[in-house]
Amino acid sequence: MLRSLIDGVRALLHPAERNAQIEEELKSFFDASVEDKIRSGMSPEKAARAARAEIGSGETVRHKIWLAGWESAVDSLMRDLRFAARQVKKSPGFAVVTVLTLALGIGANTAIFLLTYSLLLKSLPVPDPGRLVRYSAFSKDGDHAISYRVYEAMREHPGPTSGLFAWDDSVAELDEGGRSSQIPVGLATGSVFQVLQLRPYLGRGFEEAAGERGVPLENEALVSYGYWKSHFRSDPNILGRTIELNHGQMTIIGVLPPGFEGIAPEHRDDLLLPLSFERVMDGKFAMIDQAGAFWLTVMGRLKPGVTLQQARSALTATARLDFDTADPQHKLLTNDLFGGGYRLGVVAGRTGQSWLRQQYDEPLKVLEGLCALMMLLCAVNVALLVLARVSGRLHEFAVRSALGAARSRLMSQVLMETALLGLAGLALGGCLGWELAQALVTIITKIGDQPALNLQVGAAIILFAVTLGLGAALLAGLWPAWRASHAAPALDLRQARTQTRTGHLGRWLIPIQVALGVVLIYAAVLMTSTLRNYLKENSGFAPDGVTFGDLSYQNADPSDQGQVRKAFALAEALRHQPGIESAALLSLAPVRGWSMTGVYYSRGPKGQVRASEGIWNQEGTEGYFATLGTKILEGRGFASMDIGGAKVCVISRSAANFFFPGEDPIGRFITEGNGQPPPGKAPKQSPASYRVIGVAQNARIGSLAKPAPMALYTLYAQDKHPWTPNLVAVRSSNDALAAAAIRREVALILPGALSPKIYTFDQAVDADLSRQRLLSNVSGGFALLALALVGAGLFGVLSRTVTERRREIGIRMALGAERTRIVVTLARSTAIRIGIGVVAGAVLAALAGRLMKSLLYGVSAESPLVALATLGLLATVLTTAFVLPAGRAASIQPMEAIRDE
Amino acid sequence: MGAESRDLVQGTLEMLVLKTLALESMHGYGISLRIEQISNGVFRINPGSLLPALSRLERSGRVRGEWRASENNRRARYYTLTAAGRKALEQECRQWGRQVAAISRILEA
Repeated sequence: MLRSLIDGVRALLHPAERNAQIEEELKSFFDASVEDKIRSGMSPEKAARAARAEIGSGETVRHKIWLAGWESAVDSLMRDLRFAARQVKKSPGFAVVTVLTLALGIGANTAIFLLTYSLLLKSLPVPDPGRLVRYSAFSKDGDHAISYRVYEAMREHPGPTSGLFAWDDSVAELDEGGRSSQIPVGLATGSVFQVLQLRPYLGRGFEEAAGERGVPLENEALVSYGYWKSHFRSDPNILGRTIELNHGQMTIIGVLPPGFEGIAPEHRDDLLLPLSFERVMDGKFAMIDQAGAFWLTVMGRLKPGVTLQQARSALTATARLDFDTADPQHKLLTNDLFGGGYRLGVVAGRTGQSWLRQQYDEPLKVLEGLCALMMLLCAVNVALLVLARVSGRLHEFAVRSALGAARSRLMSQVLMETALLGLAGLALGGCLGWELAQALVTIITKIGDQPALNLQVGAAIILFAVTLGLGAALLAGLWPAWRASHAAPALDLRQARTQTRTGHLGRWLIPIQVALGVVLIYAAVLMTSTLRNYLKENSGFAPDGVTFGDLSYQNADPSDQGQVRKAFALAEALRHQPGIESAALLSLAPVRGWSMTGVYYSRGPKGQVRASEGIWNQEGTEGYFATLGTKILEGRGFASMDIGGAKVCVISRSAANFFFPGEDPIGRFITEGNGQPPPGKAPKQSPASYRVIGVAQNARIGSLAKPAPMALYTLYAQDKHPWTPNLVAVRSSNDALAAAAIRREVALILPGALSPKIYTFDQAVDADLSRQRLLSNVSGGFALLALALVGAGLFGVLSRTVTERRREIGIRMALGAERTRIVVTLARSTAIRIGIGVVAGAVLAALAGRLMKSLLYGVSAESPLVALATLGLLATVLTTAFVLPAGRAASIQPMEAIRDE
Repeated sequence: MGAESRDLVQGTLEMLVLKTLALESMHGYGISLRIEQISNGVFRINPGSLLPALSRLERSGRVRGEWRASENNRRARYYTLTAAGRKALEQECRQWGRQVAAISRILEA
């Protein structure tokens, strides 16, 4: 085997040497033959003649010997490829258009697949990830984090797993040489090393029980491999180094294995810390000590031989009891937040845990589907292009066929040319796809966060791209190749182009193109309408000109009145800056997906109590409504005179309708519950009551994509124990000015705090609607491309038809047909084909619409307006594509056409 | 069967060549002559079939070829059977024997 390989390669590299060998052997055979014949009595000349006759054609024999080696097949392939390349070079225009078309299709598909793979498919880089499972609290809204108490209960009954760990993704403050920065960190219990089978690249991991609640905190941390390389410059003495984290010293005890950066693709951790470090970060409000704080991901490794199904059944048997008894507050609070009905469940943990995945799971699947259609459309267009090119070369194929070329050879030649174009398209498409993927990642990245995904090109991506690119190219070249191999010499050697056989496939491809185009355009219309509806929707804010600054403080201790006063001073200072109309502090950042709910109740005139656990509380300063633009519908907003007086509130329209249906809410009281629904005999007024002074319009505080919640607005100044304000909002005429002012004043008034994250309301809206924007932008791009391809395709086919039928049309005109009749005939046959395509496309589109139902907003998949828009766009493009060839057909001069041969 | 070696299946030709070389090393023409002689002229192998067959056998390691001076002091490529070739020959002979026996049984049935 090896011998064969070496000999073959040598023959390929030194063909002259091999030929000389073959020649020499044949010569020696000839000589031996002549000698033998002379010995048996022939004369030398006769012997030579006889020997030559025996051998026959020397060339043939030499060729047969050459064919005996595998290198002859390789050599043949190389020749064919070189020939194909030469043929392709002959028509650069065709080559460029084909390569571009393929590149666009491949690029789009590669980009979406890169995203899909990185977010949905990639396994955690740990040994045997298929045996991992993840526990979560599932409700109809998705799955949610677990509290520490529940994790503790589960730890006592590991059941089907050989170990469990709890994990939280967070950010910590790193102080280096006086400069502080925020770095992403992962907090985990020490059991993570055993469960994930993490073997540190350097140093060691945590003890098994490290990070648990009762265990004293060791100030130990591990760095990720990437962070060690970039930030610590692969310092070989990294072990034992200390860093200042959240104002405390941590010792680095190890380096994580390369590639492991946490369990969520969108949160790549630089450091791994013990779970109980959370106490250092959150102080008095440490979630690890609280009941009813949901912040953890819990994962485990199944025991050998145990299946996921068995793990599920084990769970239902025991867990529910433990869950509720471990954390009685859970039930109450989860009903508030998650609309009730949660269950502890277990799913496969191979891909880790990702909130981003939940958001983009469906959109990415839809985009993958559209991508596939896009690729098909590109392939069809390429088929048309190659077919046209082949039609122009039928003469050449006919000659080769007449000279004896096998059909398979002609077919393989065309396929090879197409494959070469496919490779070029693949190279270009790969680059395009990479750039597009990066751009898409910026769309889905949250404000100020690290890039949502760290895209990496691995074997899977390359395999996908190569299969797609070559597959599409070869598929497109199949029919033209067949056509070339069946070039009938008798017909095609003559110049007569009266036959329209080559237009045949073109005619069938038009309906396919139109059908695909219909689906892609329809999807885009639905997605862009959805996005527009979200944006048009009355959000309850006036986003233009509003800039936010996320504030952070030395420590988040709300009893530190000093900090609250500083925050007030900040808002006051900003109010007086030039160019700034108003400023306010707020607790809840709008449109960022945050929420803060509480229990409130009202008493009716007859004593009936109305209570709700789902009232959103936004605390702010008096400039709130003016700054954010939420309109006051009745009564008034906050004024400076309220500050010293009794507690007042403003409620949303929906809250007013709930608490005081059919009554005037102004002057009435709403009281804060304290974690329990109120008893029947609630006092009319208590220190926890707020007097309603105004009704505000409904505002989508949490997210534009969710309905406006019932809201209650209160004043910081009236709250004895306020939370330190999380952000400052500023309304101005110039965003850059506002941003600079915020930064300046924060540096002055809150020295030592981190530089605030600054962003505009519009940026927040963009981030909030990133899912819809992704869908809208990508499907819109596809639709534009589809329109271009369908138009170009129709234009190409019609042009060729007119060219091929020139004589026929000329004759008909000479026989008296009017020009308009010619055009009408052409239009009719085209319209029939387009009609078939539209019907087929409509069926596919209806299917697609049903699949996309859950992604729509404000528009229905069956809306006639949508259908009209789709068909309208298509009709415009198709008519444009029709006009030019039809014009050419109508302007044919009969005499010239007939004379042309 | 005609005198054309084209009627011989490729595998059978290689088996005959191996057998011929089992007796002594020979060059191409010598093999062709020997096969013709032993088969009483039934098989005449022309170089267009023999030389490619020898090339294949050499590639698969069943024979070893080297340039030597022939009986007339001319250069000729002599082929020798290798150990692998000997084993292959045994296998092919057994296979052939089975086929022949089966065909005979059918014809005499």
